[in-house]
Amino acid sequence: MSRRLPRLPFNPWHLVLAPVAFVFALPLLWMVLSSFMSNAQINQFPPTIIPDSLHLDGWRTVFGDSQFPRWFLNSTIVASVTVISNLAFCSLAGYAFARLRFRGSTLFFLLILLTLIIPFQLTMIPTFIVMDKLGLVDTLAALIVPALVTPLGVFLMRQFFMNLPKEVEEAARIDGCSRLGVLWHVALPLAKPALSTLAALTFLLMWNDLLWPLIAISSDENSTLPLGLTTFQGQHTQDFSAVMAGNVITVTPVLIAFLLAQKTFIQSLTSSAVKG
Amino acid sequence: MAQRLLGENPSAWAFVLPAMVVIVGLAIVPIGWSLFLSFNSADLIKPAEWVGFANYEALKDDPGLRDAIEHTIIYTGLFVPISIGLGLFLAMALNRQMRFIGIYRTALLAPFIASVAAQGVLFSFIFDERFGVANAALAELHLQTQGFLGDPGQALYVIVLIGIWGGIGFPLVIYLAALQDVPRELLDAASVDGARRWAQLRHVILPQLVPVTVFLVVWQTLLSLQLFDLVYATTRGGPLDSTVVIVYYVYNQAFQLFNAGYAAAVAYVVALFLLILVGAQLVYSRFRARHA
Amino acid sequence: MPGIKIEQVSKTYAGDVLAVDDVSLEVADGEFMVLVGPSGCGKSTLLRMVAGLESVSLGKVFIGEEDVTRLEPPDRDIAMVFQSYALYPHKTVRDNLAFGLSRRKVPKAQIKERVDAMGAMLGLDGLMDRKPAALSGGQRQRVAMGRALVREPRAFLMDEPLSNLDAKLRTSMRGELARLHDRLPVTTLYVTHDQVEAMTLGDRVAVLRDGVIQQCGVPQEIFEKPANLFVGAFIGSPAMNLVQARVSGGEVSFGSTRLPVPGAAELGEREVVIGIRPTSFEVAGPTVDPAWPTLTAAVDVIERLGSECNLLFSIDAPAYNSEDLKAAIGGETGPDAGKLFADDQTARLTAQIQGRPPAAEGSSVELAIDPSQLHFFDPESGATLL
Repeated sequence: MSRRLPRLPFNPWHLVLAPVAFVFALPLLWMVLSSFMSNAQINQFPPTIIPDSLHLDGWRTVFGDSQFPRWFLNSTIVASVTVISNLAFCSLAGYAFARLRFRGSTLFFLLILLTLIIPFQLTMIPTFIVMDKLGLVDTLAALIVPALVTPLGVFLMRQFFMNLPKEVEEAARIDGCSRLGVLWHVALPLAKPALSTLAALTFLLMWNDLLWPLIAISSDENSTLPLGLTTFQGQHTQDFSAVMAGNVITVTPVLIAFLLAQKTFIQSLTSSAVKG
Repeated sequence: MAQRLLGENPSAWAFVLPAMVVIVGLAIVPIGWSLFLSFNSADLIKPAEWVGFANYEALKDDPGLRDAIEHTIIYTGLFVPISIGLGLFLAMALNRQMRFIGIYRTALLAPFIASVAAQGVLFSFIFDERFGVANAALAELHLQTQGFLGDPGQALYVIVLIGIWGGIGFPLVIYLAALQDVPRELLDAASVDGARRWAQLRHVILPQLVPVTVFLVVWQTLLSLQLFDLVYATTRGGPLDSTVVIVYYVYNQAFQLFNAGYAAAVAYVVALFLLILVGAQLVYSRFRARHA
Repeated sequence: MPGIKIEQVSKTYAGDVLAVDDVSLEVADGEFMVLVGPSGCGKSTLLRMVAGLESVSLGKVFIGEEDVTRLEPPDRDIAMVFQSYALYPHKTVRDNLAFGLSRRKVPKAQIKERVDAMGAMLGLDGLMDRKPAALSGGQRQRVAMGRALVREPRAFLMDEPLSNLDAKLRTSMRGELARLHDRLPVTTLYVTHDQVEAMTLGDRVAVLRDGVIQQCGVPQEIFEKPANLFVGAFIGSPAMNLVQARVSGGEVSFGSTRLPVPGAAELGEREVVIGIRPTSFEVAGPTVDPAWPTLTAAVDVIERLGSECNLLFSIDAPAYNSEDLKAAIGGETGPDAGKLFADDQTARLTAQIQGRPPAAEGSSVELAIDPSQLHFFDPESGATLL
């Protein structure tokens, strides 16, 4: 006879998970809270969670007296354009690799795989030189052009299209569709999960990128949020609420997107891992 | 005619062209160019001068590089096992039916979504020696306040901590998916065979997780060897160069000190090492697949 | 002493879904009992409750003399064969067989002895060091059986173990299972949706529907004396022919057919559903008992099976359909069920005749029906009347 342990009124794992989850969420909570605190309040511990007065100077600085709105716009432009271009071009290329036989397909695909493996620090210097030669340094174009099509995106779409059952596409061909027509009318509508995955990943990577904007952009106006944030931090070392307010702005769009589309994000992470 | 030239589907070339132009032009070409650069002395302003293997020779005796490598290895050696082990533990904790599971999972994943730069800025503030919440808490508890990111002996380890906070979401999510993929019938069979929870973990669940774990080890290692954003956003390599890591070193050499040729050489050596790492994983997975 | 005793067991899932409804069943020691029924009828749930993999909402389960209702699977001393075999993928065949024994702290030397013997008995000798991925489907099945056998448990539980095999292999494995049980008569509870397996393997068969046992008995009894319409339609292939009819004064009438059936006189005057198994027909002729009622069949399709043939014919009567039939045979209810063309409303029956076809497609044939094999069911409840 096996003994049963006395049952608690709730699952004992809550005792482990709740504190851990709280510790993990704490810094982000602190980020939001401290953006509303004056320097004097910030130093108190335990912190006053509900400040008797909301100190809005930090936010005023960020919205009125800084480049954050401009940086937000830049980040949005860069992220949106690259997401759209990736959706279009990675689908085209991925479909071709998955379904069409053509000379050079193996070679090209190998090249793409190769790019996936090469670490960024190897290519960043020459890429900068290329951008320089093209006169694109310190423009948003320098951020967008290298990311118009990502190897990971091509890889993802190819994997997806390879796993679609061929029959539906074959039926469309017999019904008279061209290759492009099959892609547009049959394959793409079925590809919504893969496309959302691709969009989520691309958006995440482009919005959060620091190193390449740091290299390619030199002026304040053309910075993206992560870059601008670090610059701002360097310039306003004592103005904590302003820096935190800027931090909130940098982090909020992706966090909101994440909260709204958790399943998609999680799926995008796990699927890229499985393929890796 | 087009078919003879371009294979069965000439129109396919049109499909693939935009991707290939961008990827070949801005990824493949730079790889070769980097190699060329590494044999030159270049400062990105004057035209480059050929110096042969001089850069590679200098590599060997560069104490700055050696320190950077050491710091990177310390970071990797701590980050990889902790993020994977903790990620597995939390995934197993989360893999059950109970209330608030969604909330816990969101809380643990959210840091991963935030930009690493933003994480760095946030924690620079939290760990600020005079105004940060961390030291305020320590003082309140009558414990010694710390230098954290301002202390050359501590800064790297604080960065490890931040890295784990921000990076655990990925292994967590991967392990969660893998745990849910363990076939129910396999656990039933083990149960009927006499295995209770602990034995089921050892004999069924963990063996199923081996491929995923191998992947995670390689992935997290590659990631941590390329650490940059966090260092830039917190310490800019300081204090006293105690947090300079490899990519930061390359960046510094190329874009602050204008030694682009030397930086390219360093980047190449590191890239070679990374390639060996990936190659090893590929060989290992082929090996397993053939001997399964 | 019963091998397995299920006493008034019920299982309710969240949302008040009743998967198993007050089932009582006794499997004698050494008996091979088959639980059969359409998918979703609760047979697997019942099996899993005996295994301990599902909790029991109400009732008790006994294995041997022991009340195991609250015991976890590791403590029940039972072995189970799963539909997908559930072999440990990273362990060798040898380790797969040995696992259960090692859990029970059997001494290493004994484990080796028993595992080697089992490997030899099942013809797994050369495969002992392979992993499941390197085995064929039939080999994996043998390892799954071996894993259960080597434990020498009090009872075997089998959950559709033959479903994943292709048709020919399934037939031969059925025979193997039967021989195995003769050699090692361990109490066995076997679940399947295939009524042929049930009839050929079971010492006794229990037919389930929606969590309730419809009938439990030896195969012959289930076949010849179904307790209700559902059992009659479910067991037997080709399926029993069912026609809505009227009984009056010892005569059964449907459409334009009148069949004198003296035995039906005691039913009085009422609506019934009659059931005629395809094998109950004979071609009318000098060898057939003249007392047998006959009907004229317009042959639509002939299925030639070599030693026998199926005559598919229609009669002048509406097609029979009901919830019971749908549950037994599967498919949709409604007048179009099982039909390709929506305007088809006539009853289509099947007769199985030994030997060559007696007539060509499109022509008529006189068929005699064995009245002792006629079944009468109540149209409302489906219960057997005669």
